[in-house]
Amino acid sequence: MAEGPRGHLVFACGGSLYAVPAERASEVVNLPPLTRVPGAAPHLLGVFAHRGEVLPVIDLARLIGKPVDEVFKRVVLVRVPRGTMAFTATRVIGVSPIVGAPPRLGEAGALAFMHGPAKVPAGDCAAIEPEGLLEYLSRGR
Amino acid sequence: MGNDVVDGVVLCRVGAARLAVACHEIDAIAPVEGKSWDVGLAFGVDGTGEGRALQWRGQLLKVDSVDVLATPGLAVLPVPTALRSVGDGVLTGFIEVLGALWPLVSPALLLAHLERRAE
Repeated sequence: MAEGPRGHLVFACGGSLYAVPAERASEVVNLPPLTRVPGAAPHLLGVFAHRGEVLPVIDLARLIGKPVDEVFKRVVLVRVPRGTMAFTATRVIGVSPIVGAPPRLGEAGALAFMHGPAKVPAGDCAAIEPEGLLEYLSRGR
Repeated sequence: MGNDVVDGVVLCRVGAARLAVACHEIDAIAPVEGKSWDVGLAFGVDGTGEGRALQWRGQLLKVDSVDVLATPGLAVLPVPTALRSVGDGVLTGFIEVLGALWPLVSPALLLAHLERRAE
């Protein structure tokens, strides 16, 4: 049976578009001052407290090895059963349907948990598989 | 760990970074003399000045400055799933004091992490 369109929240980061399943995107908030974390990789910009929870801020561009020369002002909070992540965003586009299941963008690393190119009205985007990405990050990557 | 508490912490600053260690986990706060491990390495920052050291089992962990907060029953916020392996698992939680969030670390694991980075 063919997959029907699924609503995704589309946002821009580092010159690229990303999308997360709309049901996993819990909030978009202004980026507050961050607390640095010892031993963190460059893609982990820091943490902040939000509604009694500590949230890690993940720079998606750095995570997949893209150069970053932007100042992030907002983060998209993505909540899955095992935890919550905050993804940096330069612009939030809105909710768009993604039809079908585009292929993985890579065989290993974070790209194994991104699918694309997924077509949305704003252009081509990488659709993030948040459960898998969180599992990947929790292994210390 | 969601309902954990800690009785007293040493608040440490290294450059613009900060961290906390439970008071009961260190042996002493000492001057930096002889061989010490620069905690700034864990943040990728250089420490400034002579600093102070946390003493743990004969080892010295150098930071820029320390303040002891003797408050009992400080709530410890759990480590987010995405951070469980960061820095070789050095984080044990976070505390919110003095209007800021502080990573709470184990001195044993912090030392192990610094040793690994120095290899």
